[in-house]
Amino acid sequence: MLSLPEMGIYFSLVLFLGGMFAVMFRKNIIFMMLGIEIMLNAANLAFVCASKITNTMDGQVIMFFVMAVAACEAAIGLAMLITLYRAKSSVEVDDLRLLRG
Amino acid sequence: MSYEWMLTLIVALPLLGGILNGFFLRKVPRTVTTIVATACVAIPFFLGCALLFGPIYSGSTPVSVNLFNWISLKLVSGTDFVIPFSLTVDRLSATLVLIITGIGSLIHIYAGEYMHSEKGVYRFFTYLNLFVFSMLCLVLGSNMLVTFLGWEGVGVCSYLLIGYWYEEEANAAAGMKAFIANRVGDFGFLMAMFFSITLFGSIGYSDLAAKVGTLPAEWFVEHNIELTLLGLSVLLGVTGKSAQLPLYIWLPDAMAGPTPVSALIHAATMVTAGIYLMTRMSFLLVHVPVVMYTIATIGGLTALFAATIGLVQNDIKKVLAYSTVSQLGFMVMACGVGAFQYGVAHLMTHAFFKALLFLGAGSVIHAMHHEQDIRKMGGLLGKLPITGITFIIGTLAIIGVPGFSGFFSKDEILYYSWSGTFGSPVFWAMGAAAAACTSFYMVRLTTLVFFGQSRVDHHTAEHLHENPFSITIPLMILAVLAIVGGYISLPHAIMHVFGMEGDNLITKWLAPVTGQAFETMKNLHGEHHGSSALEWTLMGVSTAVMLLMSGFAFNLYKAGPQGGERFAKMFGPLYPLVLDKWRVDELYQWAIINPLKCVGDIFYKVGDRLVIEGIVNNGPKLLRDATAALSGTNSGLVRTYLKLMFVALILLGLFLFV
Repeated sequence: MLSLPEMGIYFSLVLFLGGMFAVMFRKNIIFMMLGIEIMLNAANLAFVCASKITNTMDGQVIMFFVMAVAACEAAIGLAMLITLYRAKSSVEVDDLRLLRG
Repeated sequence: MSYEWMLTLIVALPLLGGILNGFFLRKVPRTVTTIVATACVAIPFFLGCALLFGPIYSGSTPVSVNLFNWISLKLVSGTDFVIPFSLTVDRLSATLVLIITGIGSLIHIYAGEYMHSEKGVYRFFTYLNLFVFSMLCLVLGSNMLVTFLGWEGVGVCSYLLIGYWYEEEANAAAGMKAFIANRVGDFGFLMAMFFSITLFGSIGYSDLAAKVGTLPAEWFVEHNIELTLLGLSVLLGVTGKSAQLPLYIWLPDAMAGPTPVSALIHAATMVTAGIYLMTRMSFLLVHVPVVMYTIATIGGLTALFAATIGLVQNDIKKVLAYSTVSQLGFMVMACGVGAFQYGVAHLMTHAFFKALLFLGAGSVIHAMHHEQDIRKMGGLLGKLPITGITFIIGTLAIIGVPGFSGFFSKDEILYYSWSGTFGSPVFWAMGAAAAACTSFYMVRLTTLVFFGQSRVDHHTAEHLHENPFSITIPLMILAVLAIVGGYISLPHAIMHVFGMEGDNLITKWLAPVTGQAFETMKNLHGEHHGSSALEWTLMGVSTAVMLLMSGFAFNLYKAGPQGGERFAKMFGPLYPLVLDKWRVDELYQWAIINPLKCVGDIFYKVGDRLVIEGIVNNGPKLLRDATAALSGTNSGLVRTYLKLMFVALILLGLFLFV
């Protein structure tokens, strides 16, 4: 039987994959950003669990950094999203194909 | 001024004239261009006179000047190999310098008037000046390399001048034909240089002469094959530049150029370069009888062959062109039988009368507004008296009427072609037959142009009048020279009558140059075996033939070209064949040009299209196709990139951790 932190690690994997598939397969940028948030939180969970398993504080400290970065990212991302919507009247990611070779 | 300076200036001034006219005087009036160009040729003439009558006349030692070292190498064997750019003027080259610059100046004066309606005449005079420079390099070079510089230079200038009116494709093609035929000859000259470096380690004429003089007789037997190849290479060079069989084809086409060019380059000077070269190398050539006989045969055949074509041509300049080829054949034959000095004598007299004839023809063409067909002329003597009289003098000189210059030089050649060291009655027969043809076609030409009823069309006849003095004065000067030029080569038989002993002028004059060759011939083949009786007989025969043929031609054509047409019908299919120049051009087309084209086509299709273009085109094509397949993934869709990233991450994980 797995201990709680170990189960948490596996759960973080599931969460991460879920977030990643959201980013990969959703076309709406808002949902993609949600996916990114989920992935970041999955990472946070993994850090916390790892910190619990190893009995150190490192993981928990890093979690706070990640939360700060995630907050910034969300703020900037949403700001860009609004600008983008004003310019293109769309939040569909498939409409943004400037990188096509 | 020292002699060395004079010698340098002789060569430098025409070059300077070419540079001035070509770069700095492009916008000045025509008269300025003419004066500059003429002065740059006339001053060297006077300098040449000063040299010839000064140091060259009084002593037999040549004047030399070494300008700089052209090629300076340290060989693997440790010895130095130096070819200097040096000029030497001796009796032979001094004579040629006077011919080139003297006739050159007259032709420059003439051309100033002849080309008066041309735009951008500076181009014409630039080429002419450069030609004179190259020709002077050719005759004044003291080694084969400097001569070769001139040899190539005159070829280039000839190409440029033949194609002077390049807007017409035929003219440009004629220029290219001349250049290509000359290139074949140049290959021979190059080979001759390589052979003499290999054999003697030197290409300086005086070095070579000294070395050949000291080598024992056995050496020449031992190296017979190399010497034969060397001689034949020289001969190949000669056939190219001096328009002999089989490379003569370019000269008749070269008449596409302006008439002064035909007179200067394609009659008086450039085409005689071969005779100069053979005389210069005479000390070497006489050691190989095979080569001498080949030279004489080629000369004799060319003289006869070209003369037969000249019989039927209807273009005034074409007749003169074939006549030039034929006369050059005479000169080459003279060199071949060992009478080098008469080759040079005929070179000189021919330069006078053929330049006169060409300039006369040019005067007629100028007056007739560029009509060249002799069937549309006739009776011009009254309209163009000076041109007519000088042209008739030229004709009398070339057919060898006793007293005129051609008589002396041609009859000496005919006599030596029978009795010379390498002579034989066969050569004489070829020469005499060619001389008979010469009488016929020249009298035919003169009669059709100047005598009989006028066949000029009404419009041209109204404007027909004698040309200005700048055209007629050169004609008159050349006419005088065409009369008196021959007295330098008086036949021995005639000299005996007047109680003169020893050799004639030209033989004595050229003795320092040709003496070594004569000495060798005497040692190897014994004394000259002619006699006065033989000389008188041959002279009598050729004069009789000349009178017969001229009278016949005059009677045939005095009423116009119809008489000749009736006469031509008697020959059946032979006449159209000769009219088509024996179809030699067609033969070359079939035997040389078409196979070459075929080979070229194969190389084009296989080598060029398949191999080179295959590599060049298919290499990038392969890359482009490969990248096109990959660039499909670059869709611009973020999702695709993320999917690829995911796959990559998985693969990276597997690679790192499994």
